Amino acid sequence: MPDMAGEGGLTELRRGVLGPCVLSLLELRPRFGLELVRDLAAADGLLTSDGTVYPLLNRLRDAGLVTSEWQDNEGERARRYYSITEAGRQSLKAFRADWTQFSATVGKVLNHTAPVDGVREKGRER
Amino acid sequence: MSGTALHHHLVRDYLAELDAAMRDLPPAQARELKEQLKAHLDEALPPEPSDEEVVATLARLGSAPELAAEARTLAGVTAAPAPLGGFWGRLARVRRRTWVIAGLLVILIAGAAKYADYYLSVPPLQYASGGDWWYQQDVRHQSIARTDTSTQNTTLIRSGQRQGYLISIYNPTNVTQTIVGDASGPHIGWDNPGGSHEQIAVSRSNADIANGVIGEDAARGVRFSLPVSIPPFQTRLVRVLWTSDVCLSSGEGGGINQIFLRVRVGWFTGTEIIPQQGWYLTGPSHGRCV
Repeated sequence: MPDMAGEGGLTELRRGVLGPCVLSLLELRPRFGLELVRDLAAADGLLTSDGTVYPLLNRLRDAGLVTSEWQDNEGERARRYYSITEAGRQSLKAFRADWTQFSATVGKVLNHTAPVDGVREKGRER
Repeated sequence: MSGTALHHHLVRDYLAELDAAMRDLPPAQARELKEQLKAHLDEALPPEPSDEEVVATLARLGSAPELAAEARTLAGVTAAPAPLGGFWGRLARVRRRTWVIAGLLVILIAGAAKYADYYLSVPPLQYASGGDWWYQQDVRHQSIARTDTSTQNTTLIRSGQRQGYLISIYNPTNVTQTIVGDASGPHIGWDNPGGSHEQIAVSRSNADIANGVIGEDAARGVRFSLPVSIPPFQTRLVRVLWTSDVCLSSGEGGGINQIFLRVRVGWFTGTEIIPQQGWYLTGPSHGRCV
C-alpha cells in the first residue's frame, strides 16, 4: 500500500467511513443537504469537499438505507430532507460494532500496544 | 429554488463544466446530482453574491471533474473523460459512431480512387497484324504496299455502295475490355476513309486472322454483334463497314490508319484510338456519287 499514508489513502478511508457518519447524523433527525454538509464539515477532516456528500446520499438511497422527500415548510424554501430507514439503522448498528473492534485493533498495532509474531518468537527464544 | 445566485456567471460556468464532466454518467443520475448541487449553491450563497463568495463556495463544493469522478466511483462507472480543451477537447468529444462513419467513408473513397486509378490506367486494345477487305470484289482489286513500319491496303472505290474491312483486335491486359460502339460518329468523313453510315461489329468468340486461328474466308461465317467483351489475352474480329458516298477522280484517294472505339473497362467507358494498317480507297468512281 504505497499511498496509504498519503492523500489517496486518506481519501479512501474517508470514503469508507463517510457513509456510516451520514447515517449516524440522520439517525438523530432528518436533515436537508446543506445542513448535512455543514454538520459533517464541522467534524474536522471528514469532508474533502462539500459536494461529495450528494453522490454518497444517492448511493445510500439506492441501497435502501436512506429515503428523501421534499418538504415545503411555511416561511422556508422547499428543501429535500433525507431520513434513515430501518435498514439504514441496522447497517449502522452493524458498522458500529465492527468499527469499535476494528479501530481498537488498528490502534493497538499502530501504537505498538499489541503483541506481534516477531516479538513473541523473540521472547520464546530467551 | 428561486435564488439569483444560480444566475451568477461563475455558477453558470461551473454548472456547464459539471454537465460536460458528467456526460458519461447515466442521465438520470447526472440530472439528480446537478439538481442537488444547484440546491446546495442556491442555499449556501446569498441572492446576489460577490465573485469572492462564489469562488469560496465553489472551492468548498469541489471541482466539477472531482464530483463527477466521485459519482462515477460510487456508481461503478469506470470510464472517465479526458479533461481536454480546445481543438483536442472537441476532437475527444467526437462520438465513436462518427469516427466509424468517417473511417468507412475514407476507406470507401480510397477504394474508389484505387479502383478508378487501376481501370483508367489500363492499356488500350491492340490491332493484331493482318486483315482483309470484307467484300470479295474489293479483295480482287486490292494492292498492298509494305514498308518497314507500315502496311497500306488500297482498293477501288465503289461509290454509293457498302465497302469495309475486317481486322483482329487483341486485349493485351489482364482485365476484360468491352467494345460498346464506334467513336468516330455517324459520318466517318473523306479521310476516314470516305463514307457514311459507318457500322462497327465484333465477333463473339476468340478469333484471330493474323495468327491463322480463323481463315479469311471462314470469317464470313462468324457472328458479329455489339457490345462484345474481350477477356484478357483474347482476340476478336472487328468488322468496319460504310457507304462510300464520295466521288473520286482517277489518281485521287484517301483512307485511314487508325480506328476509334468506345471501350468500357470496369465502370468506365472511354475512347480508345487504335493504330492499324492503312485502308485506302482510290478513284476513279464508277458508281453513284453523292
